[in-house]
Amino acid sequence: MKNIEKRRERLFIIELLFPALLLIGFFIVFPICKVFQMSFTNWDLMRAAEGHYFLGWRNFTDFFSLSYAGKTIHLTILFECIVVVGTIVASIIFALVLNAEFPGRAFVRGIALLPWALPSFVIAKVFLLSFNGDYGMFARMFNLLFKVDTNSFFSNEHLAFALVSFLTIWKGFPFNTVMLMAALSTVPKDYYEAADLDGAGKIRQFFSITIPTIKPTLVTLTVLQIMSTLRTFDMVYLLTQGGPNYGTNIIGNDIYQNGFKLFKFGVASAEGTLLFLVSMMFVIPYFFREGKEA
Amino acid sequence: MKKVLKMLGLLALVPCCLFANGSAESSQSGAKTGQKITLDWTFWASEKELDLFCRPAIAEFEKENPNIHINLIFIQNTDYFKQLAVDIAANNEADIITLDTGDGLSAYYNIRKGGSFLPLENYLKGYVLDDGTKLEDVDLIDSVKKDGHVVALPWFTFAAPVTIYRKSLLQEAGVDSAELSKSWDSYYKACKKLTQDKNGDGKTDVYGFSHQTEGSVLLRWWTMHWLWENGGGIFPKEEGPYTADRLIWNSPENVAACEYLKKMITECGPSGKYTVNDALNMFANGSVATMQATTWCFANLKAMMDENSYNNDIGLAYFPNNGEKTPVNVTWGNPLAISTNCKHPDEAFKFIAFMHGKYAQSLQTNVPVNREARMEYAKKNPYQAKTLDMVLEGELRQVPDIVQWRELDNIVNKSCEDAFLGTKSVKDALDWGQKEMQAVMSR
Repeated sequence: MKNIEKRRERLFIIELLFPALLLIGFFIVFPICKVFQMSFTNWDLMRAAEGHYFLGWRNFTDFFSLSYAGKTIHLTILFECIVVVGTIVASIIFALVLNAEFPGRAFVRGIALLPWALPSFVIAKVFLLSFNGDYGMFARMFNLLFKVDTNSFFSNEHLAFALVSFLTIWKGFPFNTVMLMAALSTVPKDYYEAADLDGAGKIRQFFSITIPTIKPTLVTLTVLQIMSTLRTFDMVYLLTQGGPNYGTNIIGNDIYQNGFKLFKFGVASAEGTLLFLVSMMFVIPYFFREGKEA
Repeated sequence: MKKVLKMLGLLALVPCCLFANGSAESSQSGAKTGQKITLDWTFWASEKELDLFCRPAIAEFEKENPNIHINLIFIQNTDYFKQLAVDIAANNEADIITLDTGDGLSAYYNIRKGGSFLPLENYLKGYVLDDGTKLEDVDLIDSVKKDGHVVALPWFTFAAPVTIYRKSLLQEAGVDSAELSKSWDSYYKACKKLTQDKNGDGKTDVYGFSHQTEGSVLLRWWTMHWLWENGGGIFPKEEGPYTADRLIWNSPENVAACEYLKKMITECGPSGKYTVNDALNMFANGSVATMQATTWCFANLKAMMDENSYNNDIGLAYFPNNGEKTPVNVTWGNPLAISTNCKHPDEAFKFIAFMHGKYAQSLQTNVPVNREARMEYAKKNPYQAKTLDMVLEGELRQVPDIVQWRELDNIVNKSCEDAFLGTKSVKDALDWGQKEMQAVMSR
């Protein structure tokens, strides 16, 4: 009887999980497997008549042999570091500020969420117009304060990269701020009172009380931010299309250019496969760690 | 067990619902039984253009052929050719496809083994429309031949460029319009004179010249004739054989032409990244005095300018003369092709032949390929007609129609963008482009 009941229970669990597994299989597992397959076969659309024959590592070597491949990898790593660190630091600062009591806090909290709520297209267009030397708001500001012509910002590789990084941080930090504000609200106030009594300064309290308490949330947000930044495409495409001179050509944009502009889906899939493997390097240890802690 | 079977049965419906294909109508077999046939036709024009010359033509065709329905499918022009390539590869393209010889026919034709578009010679032979138009005798027929077959029927055409200018701005600055065409040097001097800070606030209010600097598709169109006119290009005279050793992208002629354009942009044009449509906007609002234009630009300008300015303040001048060299103008067309997967090719040909007839061609806002319709077009669209007449006086050339064109085009745009924005020196930008093109052609 007990065995029959156990079997019934297992069957019931499978019945409940099956639809979700089916959808995950169809929308996640199948596309990933398909991309792996495409990265080893001929998927150059302009040569589709030749068929999708096995190419071995050719798509990968084609990607690495591109003149700008090294630059793309270097920029992707740099972009990753700058945006992840920038977003997390900005989120912590804003979370601390917005957690404090001050008049108009609710209004400021609402405004602070705006960048996250706005579509990337709107942000990109507004900033492009604002930096236009002839009529842009920021252009006037920069001209008055620093005597600088902002038209050259998007023509200079380094400035263009800095602007794209800044806007990506600006768009992404509100979500992390909200999460961290929730985490900060769980820090017991008596810890701070006790620390005050012991003579600990604000900075000491921050590193010894706040950070350790919100650490699980911080780690989760960092991993999510790493994965999300690796996938960045929209801001780069909308602002610079990877230029000038491939100066903002991070891997997300390069996958789009190779796949949808040049129709070299094999090479784009190879890049996607590499991106997937790099993402897994962060995700798998994180899940193992979470599993151990649980 | 019964419960499990029921659940599995229900779950089996999920992928069926997800995979259900909504488009069931197109190309249904019906010709023989007299039932209505639907043919899908893809195009990228604006809603206004669709209303002006597509939908009325379709309505008239359907009136004459009540058993045929043309399903016009609009795809945004920025996505059109991506969508087309994917559709052809998936054997899912429309029955009738609008092509662009500037984007190359070869690449799309060769996606499918044996060709993606139906050869039309058998249809064209001796075919005369009701209005007397002989289809064997159409303009630009050579531009639509692949492997010796005519694979599309030219529908309308473009040619570029002429120089357009604001008469009032030239008058104010005391510049004679003849200076715009005399030579590259006189054009530069005229544009310098036209570039003015009118209100003394230290900012330029009127630029003498503008030229797309953003590395997207139109940059190639606006740059190639400068290179050709100076004896440069991608391959010599863009003629085959198309091999890596024949590339001339970083030739002294190209470098000189790009240096000239960079000088014009830096000293007489708006700075920063902008497109032809941005430049047309600036021309329309009077902040740019001259620029190069093609026939479709006038429809845009008409929408942007007030009637008086559009009709009276736009002047046309020949492209600046470059000494003894023959003027070379770029031309391209938008033909209609029939997919090799089309189940009703006879009806599809009937439609594309109709679109070449006098009635459909006379509705065009672009230049018709039907010579008789062109006379009526000239009366309604004087700027476009004059542009065509001026451009036809020079040599007409097309970009290489080869399988690698998309990659070469991408390199042309990136190379020119870097050169014009000053990200690299002109020589370095073109040297980089040459190296990249050689890598593409060597694969």
